[in-house]
Amino acid sequence: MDKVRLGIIGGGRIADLNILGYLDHPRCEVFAVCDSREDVARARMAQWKTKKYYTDYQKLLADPDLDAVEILTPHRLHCPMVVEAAQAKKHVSVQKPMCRTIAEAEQMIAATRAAGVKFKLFENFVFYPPYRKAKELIAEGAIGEPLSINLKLGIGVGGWWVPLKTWLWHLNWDECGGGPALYDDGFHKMSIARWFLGEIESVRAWVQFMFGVLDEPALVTWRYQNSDRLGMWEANISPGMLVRGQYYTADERVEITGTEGWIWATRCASRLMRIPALLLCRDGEHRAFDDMRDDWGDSFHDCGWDFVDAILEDRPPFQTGEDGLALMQFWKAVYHSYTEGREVRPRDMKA
Amino acid sequence: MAAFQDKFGNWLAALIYRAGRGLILATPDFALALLVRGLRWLAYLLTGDLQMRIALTDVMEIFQDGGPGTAVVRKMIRAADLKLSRDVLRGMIGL
Repeated sequence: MDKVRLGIIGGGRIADLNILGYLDHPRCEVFAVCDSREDVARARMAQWKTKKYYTDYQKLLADPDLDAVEILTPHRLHCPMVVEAAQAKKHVSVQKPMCRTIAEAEQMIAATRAAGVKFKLFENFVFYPPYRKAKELIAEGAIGEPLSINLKLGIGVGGWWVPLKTWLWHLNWDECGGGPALYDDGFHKMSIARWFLGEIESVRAWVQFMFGVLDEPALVTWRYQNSDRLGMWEANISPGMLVRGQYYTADERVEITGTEGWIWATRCASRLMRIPALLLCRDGEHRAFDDMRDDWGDSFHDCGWDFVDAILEDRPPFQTGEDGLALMQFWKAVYHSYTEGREVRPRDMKA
Repeated sequence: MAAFQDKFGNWLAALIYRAGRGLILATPDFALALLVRGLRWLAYLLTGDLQMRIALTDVMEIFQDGGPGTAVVRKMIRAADLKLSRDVLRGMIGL
């Protein structure tokens, strides 16, 4: 295959970012776009200069010119669309969260395996350049032996325009699959928690609800498998705080402590603090890393490149359906922990 | 004088909040959709602000669609209080 011809299903807000890597990869052509709203599909076709547009995703999947699809639709549609894409022999990338239930995750994995197509979970945080640099520093022993990770999420109001209807379906658990903070956005946090320090042994969580549906403030703690490492994730919303940013108003701070120092990543989706994206403290001094790409869009760009390269090089994508299943189990453990008030092991979470 | 203005402002905010809350909780979706449609045109005629028109179109469509979307809206409104709502509004307009 000399080039990957890609179809995009779903032309909503997040497509502005997911498309970045596909548009500038020299061996990818964004060939077709599909949205149930014809005006959106036509606008995206003009914007991305695609050859075709569709309003019915099944017609897009039947297009013999397409090699792969990117699915950017509401979560309840992820499972049926991935299964149908696999049956149509298209490589498939699906936006996080992968689906709504463990049973759906297993169904998606089985369908893509049976069809022999690539299945990528599009989770961009693991491609965020400062996080990549942090991971590299940890692997080099810059902080000694890692001991713990602390994820701090602070959300305010402001940011880019997202249609209210889109916010609303994210608040509806039947459509979303879980809460907006701990599940929808949380998929990113659980992903980096696992990527940085390993598989999760057990989880203990506490959650309060704001406006009856926002699962914040929340505190999630966990132990890692086969080590003494610990993790903590605090999700908060400050409804009276304006956050200026190009994207969502989530300000992420990630701190990883080791036996010889610590690393602090200070941003991701927004830029609340005008300080370097990455700081390393060791030997009584700190070193700032401010000479790298640090826009949130960069992580989407690189995540898209990974999907194209995985197809061209015939290798698994960086995050697969199996990773998505592990994250679903992590989420279910969080949910059962805060609803039942007990410590829960992700591996005990079954369909 | 400042204390009186504060007191009056709080009283007015509470009145608007209670009226708005009561209206949304007690009025059927189709009637709210019609009301927002009217508001949208009025606001656009008076201000010419396209962003406001897009936002109000979004609100109108939510009530036109009804179902789970408006159920979530009403659930949030039932759980909200004046202080929390005021915090959100203040944050959004940068006060």
